[in-house]
Amino acid sequence: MTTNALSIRSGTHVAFDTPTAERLVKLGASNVVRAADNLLLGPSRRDAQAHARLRSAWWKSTEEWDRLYAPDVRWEPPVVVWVSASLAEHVNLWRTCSLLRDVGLSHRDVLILDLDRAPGGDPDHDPLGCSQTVAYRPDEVLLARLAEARPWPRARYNHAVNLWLRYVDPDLSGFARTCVRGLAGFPELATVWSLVSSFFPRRTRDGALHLSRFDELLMMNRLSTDWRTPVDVYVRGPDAWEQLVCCTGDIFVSMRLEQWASHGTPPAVERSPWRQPNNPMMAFVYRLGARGLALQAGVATLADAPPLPMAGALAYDPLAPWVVIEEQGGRAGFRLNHP
Amino acid sequence: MRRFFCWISALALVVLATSCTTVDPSECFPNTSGGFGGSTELPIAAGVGATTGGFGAPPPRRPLDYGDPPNPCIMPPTPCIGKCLDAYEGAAGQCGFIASEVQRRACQDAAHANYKICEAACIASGRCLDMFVACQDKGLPCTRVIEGSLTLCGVCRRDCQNNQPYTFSECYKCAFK
Repeated sequence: MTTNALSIRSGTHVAFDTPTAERLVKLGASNVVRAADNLLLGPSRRDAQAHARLRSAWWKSTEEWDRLYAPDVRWEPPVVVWVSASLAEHVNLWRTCSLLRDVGLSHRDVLILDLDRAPGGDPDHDPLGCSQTVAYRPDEVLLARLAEARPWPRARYNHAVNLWLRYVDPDLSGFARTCVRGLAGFPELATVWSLVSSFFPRRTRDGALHLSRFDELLMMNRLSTDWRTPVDVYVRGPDAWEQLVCCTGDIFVSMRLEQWASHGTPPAVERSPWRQPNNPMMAFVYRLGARGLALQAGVATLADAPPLPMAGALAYDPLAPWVVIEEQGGRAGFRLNHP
Repeated sequence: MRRFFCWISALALVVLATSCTTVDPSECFPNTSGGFGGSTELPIAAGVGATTGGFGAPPPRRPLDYGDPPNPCIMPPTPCIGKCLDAYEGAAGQCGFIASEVQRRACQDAAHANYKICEAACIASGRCLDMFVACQDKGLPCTRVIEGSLTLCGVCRRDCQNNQPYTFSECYKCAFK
């Protein structure tokens, strides 16, 4: 116990959510870096400053949820990276490995504590494991894992760095191929790609364009000609929707509705002020307009939908029209759309 | 005359039995023992002790489905509980093919136990969702963004859904119990 307590007091600890950061402080860690951004959504860049700037603009916030690139962080080895089964945390793990290499730390200075899914809860609600957090584990489990921590082998660490480089590449096809092919030591890849690709438009074998899985569910299931708040849209959807929004979080639903309501003239989604102007989930109500109803029949061009930054790429970008190729309901590729 | 009297007696018994098992909707009362939303049909160890459905015979389709008329007091299951019932049906169906009665009963008991776990998770999940909606209705500070893509209500719901203690004590002030 004394050894564990000493261990947790030394070095630098990286936590990928606020509860975990607070927990590590309570356990005695003095140098905790919180990197709590959800990079499964929105833009990501290789350059730290560009990344931080884009993320701040994406969330329209100056909150410091994510201090991975903060200039005042002291990277005292060993750096202990705490990772739950959450997909978002795995993307943050790749990013952290890349950054630590950039600041000159060897893979031997980095201890990665990769925890399995915590027991309990409703697995049907979150089959992708997006709502997991290290903080759900008891103190003794965390300290025991810390006591056993070892650096990853160099090859595995290199893979993590390369995954981040592929993730932030404007050409996401390399990342997609790696995820589909699989990589030893990274069992999360197939699920990460399944999720990320759900935000890109799709093209079926007959050449027809379709909205992304997320937007299709939003426009064809969650919205109607009746006014709905983002809360109404967010909750009680079909299983496919629940799985996605469990990973996006509630705020993203209001953000995407906002993007649809600001896109095109007239927009496909109409918006009207609602009860709580300071609460993004209740500030407006939304409904499908005539263009939205027309979209239910099919997408004519990628410009029909508002662009959405995803990792290094931009979904619905007419200049770089990435589409998921679908065959018989399955995803069969990811490439630029060439009709 | 004696035969006629017996026939009348038998008919009276049938009428009495039918009237005792038929539920009038006006006689329904809330189920106060099932916790939040606990109002769906309860599989009570289907086949356990039942004399029907021997080896090779298909088990009852539903735990209480023995051909009785639908009970108007029983609410239709939520989609979540519907999935539990489907899983139960599949598992109990497999149990029906076990030759040994002891093993068959053990199998059915396990299927029932799994159903109860599944149902409890559904009920808890629905409760978390209801509290999330109530939390959002409270507005700030309950709806402030905590980190990246989650509001405080979202974090409280995440904890609730995972059956974990609330990360933030404010959850209690924001409609979560």
